[in-house]
Amino acid sequence: MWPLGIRLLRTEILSRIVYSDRLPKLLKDEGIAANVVNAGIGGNHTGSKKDYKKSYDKHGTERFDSDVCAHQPDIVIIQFGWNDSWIDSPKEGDASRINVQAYEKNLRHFIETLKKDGATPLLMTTNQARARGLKSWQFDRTEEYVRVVRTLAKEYKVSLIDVWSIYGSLSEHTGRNMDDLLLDLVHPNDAGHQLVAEHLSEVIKLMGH
Amino acid sequence: MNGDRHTGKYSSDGRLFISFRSNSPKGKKAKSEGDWVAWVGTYDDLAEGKSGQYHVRLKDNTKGKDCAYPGVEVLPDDTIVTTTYGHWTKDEKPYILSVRLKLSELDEKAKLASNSLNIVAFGDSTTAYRNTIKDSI
Repeated sequence: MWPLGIRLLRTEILSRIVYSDRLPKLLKDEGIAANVVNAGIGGNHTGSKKDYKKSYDKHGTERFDSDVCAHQPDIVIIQFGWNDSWIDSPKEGDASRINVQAYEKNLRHFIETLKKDGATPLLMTTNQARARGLKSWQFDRTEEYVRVVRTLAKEYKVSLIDVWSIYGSLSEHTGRNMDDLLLDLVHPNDAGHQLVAEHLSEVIKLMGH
Repeated sequence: MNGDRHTGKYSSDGRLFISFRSNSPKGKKAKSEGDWVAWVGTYDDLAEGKSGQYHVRLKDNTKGKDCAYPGVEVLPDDTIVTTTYGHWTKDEKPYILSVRLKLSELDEKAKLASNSLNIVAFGDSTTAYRNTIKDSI
């Protein structure tokens, strides 16, 4: 029971607009008509339910056909990383939810299937999170997964937007820091999504579809 | 045209508008499976087994295939009115919906869709997260 005179205050951040919502308008300004489907799900990793006991949702490999291929896409933006690399244990060196080899294998499956189906994969590394509040070894582990994405982009010759690097070089290039782009520890806010959408628009324009 | 409960009418330009429930043969699954859809084409398309001009989802049905025994009427100004029941709002009881359209409007949408890039953003919460954030003090 709250003492008299003390009220429960609640702040709400509403109506957030993610990059997939922003992209059609940016592309339209470039003369490109596009329909963008948001097939992102919170808490998702590239694997399947059996890979992570606490999980109830379908994950990347389980929903790839229904959520991605079924749309017969021209372009598929792929961005996974934090949930795959996350270490639930408080102990340094413990396992990630999806080990890095499995992460790589899953991404290869997505890329190869899309190419076979005539779609163009576009890889994005995940964004950096605030350093404070995160153990340095968690940060380092996630960066290991980021390196996998970069390597696969080179190997398969697919476009890459290195969001990790973009976030990391913010203060250097723009005078902004990561706090300007994050809603919480990990998730991009509106400014973060706008930044990613602008990069996507540029890259998709250059693809010349 | 895979589906059932087809109901069609001719528009003034001679094209057929057929309203029905999307339902694929065993072993196949359409993107519009179980939804209320329509097909636009000519009688010759049907007679010759052609795919017609286009196929459009009129409304997403949110509960299995429980929807669509549609009626279709064409008004004097060529407005098509098609009406049926379905589970149009998730977790709510079914209700009846009426859609009014002109084929010229659908033609315009089909033209845009055929020229549009189809993009899917596939990822986790950094892609999708747009939940309300609530902080309590």
